[in-house]
Amino acid sequence: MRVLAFAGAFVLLGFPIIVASLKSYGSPKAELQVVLTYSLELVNIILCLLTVFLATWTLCTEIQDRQIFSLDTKPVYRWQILGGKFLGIVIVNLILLLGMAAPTYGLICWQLRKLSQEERTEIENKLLYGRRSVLPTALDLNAAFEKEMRRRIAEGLLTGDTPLARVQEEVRNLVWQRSQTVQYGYTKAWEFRGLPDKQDIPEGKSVIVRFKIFTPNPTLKIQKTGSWRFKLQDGDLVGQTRLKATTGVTQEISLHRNSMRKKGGKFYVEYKNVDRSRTLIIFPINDGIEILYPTLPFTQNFINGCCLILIRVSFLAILGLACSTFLTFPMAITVTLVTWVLCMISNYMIEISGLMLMYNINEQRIAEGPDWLDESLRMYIRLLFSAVPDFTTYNPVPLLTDGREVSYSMVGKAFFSLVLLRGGAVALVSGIIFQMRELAKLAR
Amino acid sequence: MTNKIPIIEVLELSKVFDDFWGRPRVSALSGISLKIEEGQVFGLLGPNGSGKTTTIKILLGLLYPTRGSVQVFGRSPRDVRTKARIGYLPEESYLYPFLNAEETLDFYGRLFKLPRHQRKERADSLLELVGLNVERRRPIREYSKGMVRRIGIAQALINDPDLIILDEPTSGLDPIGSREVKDLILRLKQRGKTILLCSHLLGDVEDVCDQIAILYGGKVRKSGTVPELLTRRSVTQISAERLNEGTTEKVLNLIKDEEGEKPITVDHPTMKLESFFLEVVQQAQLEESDTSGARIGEGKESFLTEGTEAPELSSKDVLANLMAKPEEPEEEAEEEAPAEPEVDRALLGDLTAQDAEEPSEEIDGDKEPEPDQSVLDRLVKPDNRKED
Repeated sequence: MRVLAFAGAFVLLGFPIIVASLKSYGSPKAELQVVLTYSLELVNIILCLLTVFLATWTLCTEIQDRQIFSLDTKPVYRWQILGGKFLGIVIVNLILLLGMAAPTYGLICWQLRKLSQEERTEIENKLLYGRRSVLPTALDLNAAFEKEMRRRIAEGLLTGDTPLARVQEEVRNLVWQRSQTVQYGYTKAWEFRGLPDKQDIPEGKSVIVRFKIFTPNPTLKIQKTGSWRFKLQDGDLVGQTRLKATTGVTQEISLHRNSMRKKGGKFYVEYKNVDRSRTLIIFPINDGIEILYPTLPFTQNFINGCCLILIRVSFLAILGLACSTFLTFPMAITVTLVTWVLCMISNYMIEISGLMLMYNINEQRIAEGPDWLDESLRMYIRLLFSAVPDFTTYNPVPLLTDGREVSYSMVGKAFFSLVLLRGGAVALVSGIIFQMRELAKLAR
Repeated sequence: MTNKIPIIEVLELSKVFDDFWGRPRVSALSGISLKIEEGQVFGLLGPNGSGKTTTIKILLGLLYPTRGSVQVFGRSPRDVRTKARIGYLPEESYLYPFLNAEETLDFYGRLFKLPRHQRKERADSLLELVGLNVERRRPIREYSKGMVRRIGIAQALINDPDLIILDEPTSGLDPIGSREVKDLILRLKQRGKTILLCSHLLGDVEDVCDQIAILYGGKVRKSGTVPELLTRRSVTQISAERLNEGTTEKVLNLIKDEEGEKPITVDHPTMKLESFFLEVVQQAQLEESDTSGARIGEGKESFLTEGTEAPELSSKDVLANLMAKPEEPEEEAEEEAPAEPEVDRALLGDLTAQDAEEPSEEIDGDKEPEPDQSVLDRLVKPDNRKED
């Protein structure tokens, strides 16, 4: 207990010093991003580690030292013992979170005060205000793929020794590449749906069109000129600009809130490749272009981000206590830590599960395509990592440092998914195990 | 009383410990049966590994029986309502070392959902009782073994339980402390509490228990009331105030004449070491010698002694109680020994004169004369005044 008290004091007293010493030598926006990123990640890691230790240590030592005998012989249900410990850990986490998040918030507010009005407005628009992202309406790549295949069949291009699966893969790649590229002199248009009305956008705030372009040589960072036009559903042009954009770097175009008409709806963005070098411009499908509009003020966004951190550590607390009901301390803390790591990488593992297949061994196997064993392996990996909570999706740090919204619905989903659903299932199983265990046998 | 449910009822209880794979490894208990009625002090004896602690843990719901049934207050030991009426003193300290005595009692009092003022009141009374009032703010980890035992006793009584399970209650206590615990047990018994006592110290068990059971190898080998089990009906013991040699000789001759040549021992009784120890300490206290350990309990556990006539005991009272003749309980059980009468000097005088006035009876060679029971009954001592 003394160790924990010292650790808590060290965290609460030392953390503000660490946060205040964070420096960046870039723009004010970059400096704030550094503060947000490092401080919140530090909060995240400290709380997660502390929770794992506390949750496993508290019950394991009570069982090992037999203090649980004194507890269990009193008129207390065993689920009350577990529930009480969980609540205690959550309260400790809440206090530490407040103690660590407050200096971060305070430092950001203090740094804002040092900036000029213009800089402050720009940062508030681009970073500190929670913004919701709207992606362009997805292209129907399957339809494009089928269209291309029919064209090739009609033109008699599907002859030769190349296996059909290989041809199909090549056509898919071709369609996919075409959907991302803009040749010189050509225009590419994106349709956006679900944008807000003008009245829903706070006064003084802008709508941001964020994009990132590449050339066929992705390593080069060069500037390319493009012509942008912004239109409403009825074809009204609400803005246009000609812009030099650096390849590989995310850039933003601000649109006044008046660009959104009273009744929102569809919004069109057009890009014409007018660069004199006649280079092909590539807009990646996943993060090539999006529209961001402000929804939550920074304070509320920050609080929601802290709630997500608390929800994640609450799940770890449930997991740690659950492991302690039937494992010794070293085993319980190992299992909980390993599960935590799996939670951090589950999203990534599911994404790359397709690559972790037997048929990727050599070219001949690749040509043959995946078989039942490969598909089973993929399904197994997906199932395994789907059962583990996805901490990446509910990580507030990249959202806050990118000026994105940490919405109430996200907090609600995180609470439901991590605490109620998965945490509840773990708690139920461990509660049943704990109820059935002979405590005197555990302590031998 | 015969219509009431027994406080503890154990029927054919067996406990077998399995290994990780479920294979039976150790048979700790084999078909034991016990019944403990309300208001009894029941002693559970046995060597190490006989199954005493296993039995207690099953009664408390910390272990589950393999076979047989266990009922406490007519319910399963795991029922929360059962636990609310039990006070448990474990063999070793299972308290939180970072809490002090006050906090410990407050914590456990809250588990029993006692209101705040009642917790405070009881904590104060119990700390006075166990002699830890001065040390109440020190954390438990700084306590000596005896002090830990005392706070353990206090926490076992915080809820004024109807059933008190004491596992080695006097372990680690000095003789004064042991005496206080035994007095406490007797007072609790007078108040109608049921006590299950598990101890290796046979003297302690003998002093306070009504019934005992002796376990060995997971089975009950003997059980019954203490007088039943310990009375040696093959021996008669006579005690008297100091007799001169001539009188002694005459008594011996009378016995020889009446009973024939039987081995007879004549010596002076010794007092119990405990009594002697208390005398010495009492003397030291009168001289006001200081001590840093636990104090002698003041016996101010009013919430435990309500309804009894037992007075509050100071250290002097403890000693006075020892020196005085034991009080007879109002509702005397059949097995209680009768009070010791005063020595009838006139009768002794008659006895010594008998051999001169009355001829001895002719004794049939094939038949032994019946002893004069009325004389002997008046002279037989109660069992708790053993000489050795």
